[in-house]
Amino acid sequence: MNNRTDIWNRLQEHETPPDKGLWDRLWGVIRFEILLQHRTEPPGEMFGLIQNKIKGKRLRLWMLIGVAAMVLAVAAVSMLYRPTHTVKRIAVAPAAVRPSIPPPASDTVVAVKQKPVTVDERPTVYVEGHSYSLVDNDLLLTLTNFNYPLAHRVSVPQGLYSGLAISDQAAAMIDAAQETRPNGKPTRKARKMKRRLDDWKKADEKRFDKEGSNVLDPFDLGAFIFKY
Amino acid sequence: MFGKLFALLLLCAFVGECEGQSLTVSYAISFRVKGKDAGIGETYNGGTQTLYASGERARLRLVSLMRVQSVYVRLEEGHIGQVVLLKESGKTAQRTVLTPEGWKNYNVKYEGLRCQLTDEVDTVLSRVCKKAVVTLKDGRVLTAYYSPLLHNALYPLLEPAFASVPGLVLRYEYTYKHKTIVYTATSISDRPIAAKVFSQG
Repeated sequence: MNNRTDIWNRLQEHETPPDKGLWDRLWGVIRFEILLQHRTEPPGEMFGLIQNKIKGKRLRLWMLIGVAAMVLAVAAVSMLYRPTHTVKRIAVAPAAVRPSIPPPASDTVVAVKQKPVTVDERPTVYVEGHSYSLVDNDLLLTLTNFNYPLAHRVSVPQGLYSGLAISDQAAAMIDAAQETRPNGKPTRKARKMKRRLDDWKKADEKRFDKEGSNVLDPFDLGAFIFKY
Repeated sequence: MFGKLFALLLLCAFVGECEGQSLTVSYAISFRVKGKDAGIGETYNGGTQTLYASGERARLRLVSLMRVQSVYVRLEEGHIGQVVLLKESGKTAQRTVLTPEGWKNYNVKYEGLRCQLTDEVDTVLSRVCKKAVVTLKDGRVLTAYYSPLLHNALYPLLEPAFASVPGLVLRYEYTYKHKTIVYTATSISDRPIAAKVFSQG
């Protein structure tokens, strides 16, 4: 290959311009209709290779344009937004900031604008995006009377600090309590599960409403759950 | 030298800040039980217990499938005032008002408890927590992991089990016959708390 380029280079040294009028004479001699009869198809992969080359070049061009646009956007934002560090807390303006005291390792003096913490006192059940108010303000009663498969479809968000997760076992129990026969009446299994849940409800009320135990106390709750 | 002094000042400011200002800590309730399910415990499994403390008022709220309930405490001239227990779930809210003596009787089991502080550490919410073992007179044991950097004066009033723990407990568990109930902090916030959070229904 190297030899070939060397030959071409050497030939270039002996270059002489063609005679005047040579091209005109050549075009007159060449008969295009004969040349068209000797048409040959290019190799099959040729077009694909050419297209890939073109696409690659276009892609690189778009990438360059994208990067340039991002650099410009970042520069513009940094010029417009200059953060000020203030220690004073302002509790008025709402801000969509995830609230948390940063861990000790990080910078602890932040949080300028903070939205006050609130509590949704009336819980709501959501089924596939639709909200439903509770039956007798009771989550368990509401869910067992829903007649709707529970697993992964019902959520009970009650504000950021009191969201409730329903365990798989509890979901299975609630689903079992909703089973019905083709005629719409509850199955034997469903009646049995409802009785079980009702018994638990009564026991819970007896323990924490009448006997003076504190459900928020880990020992009292543990003693009730594990000894029941 | 100056670097150390600055770090110390920053630490003091942070501890002081958490002591007097608002504090919201959410705990997820879970169970470790051998076997299929925790029976009635499944109605509490996945529940949330949240501590709200601001100024001289505090509230501890449990949200579970079985019940939603809160305890409210308030400091009056530096001492515990009325304590209100509010059962929020059910047809009608059930409100019980306790005097400081009544609340003390509610928590009589914590009298004479022993608190053993150990050097064992664990991490909860990216915070290094130290282990404390709380033992009641009747032998029941509660294992707690606390952050010595977080404090709140009202917290021990709502959770008398941790009155002797020098910090805010971020994880605690109680085991009874191979069944364990675990409370794990899932979020901590110093955001101001709306006054209606302490309005007692």
